Amino acid sequence: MFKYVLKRIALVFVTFFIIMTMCFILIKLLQPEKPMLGAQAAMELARREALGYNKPILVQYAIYLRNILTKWDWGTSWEIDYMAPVNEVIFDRLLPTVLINLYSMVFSVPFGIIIGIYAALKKNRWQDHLISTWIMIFVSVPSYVYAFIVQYFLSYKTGWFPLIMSSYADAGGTFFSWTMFRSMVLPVLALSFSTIASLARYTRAELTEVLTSDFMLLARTKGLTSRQATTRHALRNAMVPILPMIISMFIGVLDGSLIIEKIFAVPGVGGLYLNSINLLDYDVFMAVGMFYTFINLSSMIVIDLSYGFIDPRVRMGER
Amino acid sequence: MKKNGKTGVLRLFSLIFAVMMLISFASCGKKDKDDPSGYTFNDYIEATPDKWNAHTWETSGDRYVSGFTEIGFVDIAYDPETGGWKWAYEMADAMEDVTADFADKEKWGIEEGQTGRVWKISLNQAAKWADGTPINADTYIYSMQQLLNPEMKNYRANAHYSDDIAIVGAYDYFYSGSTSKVQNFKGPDTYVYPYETWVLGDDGVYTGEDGTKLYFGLNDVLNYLDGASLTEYKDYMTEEQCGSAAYDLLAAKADDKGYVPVTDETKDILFGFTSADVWGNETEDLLAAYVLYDYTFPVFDWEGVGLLKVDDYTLYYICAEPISEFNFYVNMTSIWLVYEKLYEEGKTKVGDLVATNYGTAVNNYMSYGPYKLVSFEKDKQIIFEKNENWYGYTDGKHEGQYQTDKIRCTIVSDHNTQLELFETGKLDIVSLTSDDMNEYRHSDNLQKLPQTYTFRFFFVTDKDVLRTLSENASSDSKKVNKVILAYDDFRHAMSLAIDRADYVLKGTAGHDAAFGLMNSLYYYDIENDPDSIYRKSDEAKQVICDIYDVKYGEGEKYATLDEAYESVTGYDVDKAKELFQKAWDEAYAAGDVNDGDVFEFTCPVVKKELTAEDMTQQNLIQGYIDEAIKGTPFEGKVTITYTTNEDRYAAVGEGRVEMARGAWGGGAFYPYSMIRCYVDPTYVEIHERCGFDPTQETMSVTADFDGNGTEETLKDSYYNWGASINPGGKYNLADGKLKLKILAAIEKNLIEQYHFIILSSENLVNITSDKVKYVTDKYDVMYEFGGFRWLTYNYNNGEWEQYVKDNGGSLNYK
Repeated sequence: MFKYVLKRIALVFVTFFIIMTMCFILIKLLQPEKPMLGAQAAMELARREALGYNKPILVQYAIYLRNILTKWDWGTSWEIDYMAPVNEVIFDRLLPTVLINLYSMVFSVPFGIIIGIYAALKKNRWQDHLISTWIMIFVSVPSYVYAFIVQYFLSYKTGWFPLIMSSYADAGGTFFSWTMFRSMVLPVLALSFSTIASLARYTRAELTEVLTSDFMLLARTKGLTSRQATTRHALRNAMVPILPMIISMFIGVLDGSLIIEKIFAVPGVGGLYLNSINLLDYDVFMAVGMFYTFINLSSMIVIDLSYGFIDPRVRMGER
Repeated sequence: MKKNGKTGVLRLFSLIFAVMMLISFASCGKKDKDDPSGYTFNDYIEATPDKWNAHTWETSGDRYVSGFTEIGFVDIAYDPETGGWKWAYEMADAMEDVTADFADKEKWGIEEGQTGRVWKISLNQAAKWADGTPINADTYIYSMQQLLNPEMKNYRANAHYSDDIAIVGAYDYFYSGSTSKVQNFKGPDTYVYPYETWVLGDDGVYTGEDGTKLYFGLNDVLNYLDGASLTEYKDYMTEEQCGSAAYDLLAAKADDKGYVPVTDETKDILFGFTSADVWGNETEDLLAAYVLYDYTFPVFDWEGVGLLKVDDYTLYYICAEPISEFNFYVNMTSIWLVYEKLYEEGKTKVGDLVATNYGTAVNNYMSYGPYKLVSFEKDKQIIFEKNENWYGYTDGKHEGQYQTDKIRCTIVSDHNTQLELFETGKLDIVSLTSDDMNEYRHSDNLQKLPQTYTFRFFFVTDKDVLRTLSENASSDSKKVNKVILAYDDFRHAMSLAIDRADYVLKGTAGHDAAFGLMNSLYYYDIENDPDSIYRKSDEAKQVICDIYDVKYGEGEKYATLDEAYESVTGYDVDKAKELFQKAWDEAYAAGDVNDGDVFEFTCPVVKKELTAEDMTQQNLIQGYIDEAIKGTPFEGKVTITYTTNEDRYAAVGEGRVEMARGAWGGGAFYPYSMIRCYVDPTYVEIHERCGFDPTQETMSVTADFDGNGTEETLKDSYYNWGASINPGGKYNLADGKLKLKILAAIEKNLIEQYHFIILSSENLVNITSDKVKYVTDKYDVMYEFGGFRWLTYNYNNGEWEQYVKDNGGSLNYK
């Protein structure tokens, strides 16, 4: 097992390096637009020369790697946050994104599971059909549609919640205040619908299958009540594929939603990646890309390993 | 009792949720509340400004912050006494031209009798930074030294070393001690090292007469190529195109930056290409246009820069070229001040560059205008409050001005959210799109802000390039023809097919139909005549009447020029049909079109993302064209598809796409400079250059050039005519009427070539809340609607909150 983990970690670094190299070369192939006016054009070209943009790409890459390895310097933003270190550019925007995703997870995971369990227990009855229909709607309609709907009805029409997320200053200089929390309700709701629906669908499917298994019949014949058999045996087995999914959702709290953040004016990381490409903010693009590459590669290991902890039957090992 | 999975997970979630709620509700900081009796202006922008340092700002968005926190030596202000505009002194108490009395003329290269070279600026002695530190002459000197700092390469330095208000010595100081490759080509037939003066050195490399080595540059942009590099033309430098693999041969001899020493061999390789048919059979002496050479700027001390401290509150600003009072004042509406301590603290070296983060956050910036920056949350909110150290609140000269106590600017990029915020009273102004206009068109709160930008389609008209584009777009089953765009009649027909009045009404948020290159915001002689609107001059009106063939006078439909001009619509379907037919016949006879051809044109209109408005406009244009080609051989065969392109101006110029939509604007007080955008490749890259060479193509102007009372007709290139009415040009200092005639003639000749088709001139449309009131509802290019200076309020914050509540939380401005 230990060797397996080490091998996976080594592979993560290899994959990380390959992706980093590809990203660097590809983004550097995109040349910034030439400024149009004469004197400014000359100055801008001189500035690019001074920043090393005219060096061969591989030389630029070597300098980039050297700065990371020797100074942990991932570069500087020249377009999005002028002269800010790129790690600041990312981390300044991470908290709003994480909070909204976390609130959404906390709200939607229990709801999703409970609805899924309920639908499975009421399989093929009207409650199940009703839930399944709603699930299909929520899974298939994109989240920005809910965003507009909740914004229109729960804020614009009724005034129950603010239209957009509160600013740090208006919330009293903290992200953890009632004003801030209330302003996050709508984006949280908009993000939650599809998560609830996905979880409910998986839970229902898994639990339905487990409930018809032979061991459930055995549990009932040895004298357990339906409730006891479901909670002690069926649910536990049904959770095997669902828990890794929840884990990956938690890791995903670092991902921003471009559209939701745009609609509710959330100052998060959602638009950062796209903006860095549009503005050719090379270092920001690389840092954001590598940050998420690392998160995703790590999460894959965590998820794979989590199977073993949840269900000992799938543990790796050798004699 | 043993826990099962479900209760465990639920408990975990409950715990996390409870902790988060606890933190949420327990944390109580000081909230940023608006004073109910105060006046807060709730504004919005779509993207966060990333630097508003006066030395480095790039986009107008960057200037958002400094628009409140900084102010110039003078400001153009609404004058309530006259209802017009006036110069309002702010950071200066006075500015005057003292060239005549200036003692040290020789040192600064001032000729006897010159005016507008030396300006005495008496500084406002009450001016302070927001922290109370006085602003004096030393502050200005330090700030200019930093702006021109050769190590920093500040983006805005050019304003003071090369533009209208270039300071004597600033250019030399900015480039002091630096070496770089510079272009040999300085303008048509003007070279530092003309071809005939080249000397072959012992090492086989050509030099100039002074021994300076000469290079061909593959990667450098060349003004001779309208800002393109040879690399961009490498597809033409091939065996198939010019008889030798010229590019590859030169590249093999180039260093890592693409510089190739000029030797007999490299000269022959390049000449093999430039003398080929594909490149227009250039003569050998034109090789000088592709040459670069090393130039080391001499070390230059600050003492040679013409910004002089006379005393603590007086400066001399010595211009490199004479400048009129009006132009000097206009340029001094924004100044170059930076706060020394924060500027220095923010400095860091990145590569070979010294840069500062001054003006990127609250803690590295100092305000000195009517408002100070108090909060800056990236991508979220910016707050400004009154700067209690601003002289204007106590000097008695600003009575009734700057009533606003606080500006809260929210960063919201989603337009629907912007509108909902506005309708719920959370914003005091919002920009409208063409879709919104359907609802708000008749609102009393609508503001139309004319802009100088004139939108147009511009084309590739080079037949060979269009042929290549056609081949690339064609397939076995479809023969796409773009060559037809090379026919003037076809483009002229397209122009007449467009119903501009309908287009601006249905497809834009309040644009005006445009027929000329410059709209009524351009003044041809504002210094001497504040009513000298170019578009309202007889010369400019005549241009439009000539182009659209509208006659006036005895026996004509219209009695006067004004009547004729007012009648122009630019829309004539019958004539468009005739011209389409004519273009077909001519092209068919020349073998440039065939019966089975389809005429599909790709038209990039924006950089990133097409909007619903773009699609509406595309459909409208398609509709007009469809209508006009009915009954002609083109019927059902012409399509125009809007697309995106990061770099559409260069793409058309370099012949990578056949047409695009774009706009030039700016320079409202100097249209002579504006026209250079269309004729001067050394000024900007000409969008229409793939088929139109303004340095070679000629036009005639009839005017009284020598002032003897009779008119002469002179012929010259578009480029030379454009240069003639700009600084250094033959007619630059001529009578305003002569310059106006030349300008109008250039405009007419350009339009008549139909290398572009003019569509509309831009207007921004805003709607303001009932809370605020601008001083006038009549737009003026000088002060717009009076600006923030004169903004007043119908309700204070408390009253406004109540007003919104009383209206059920939603306000109706429709």
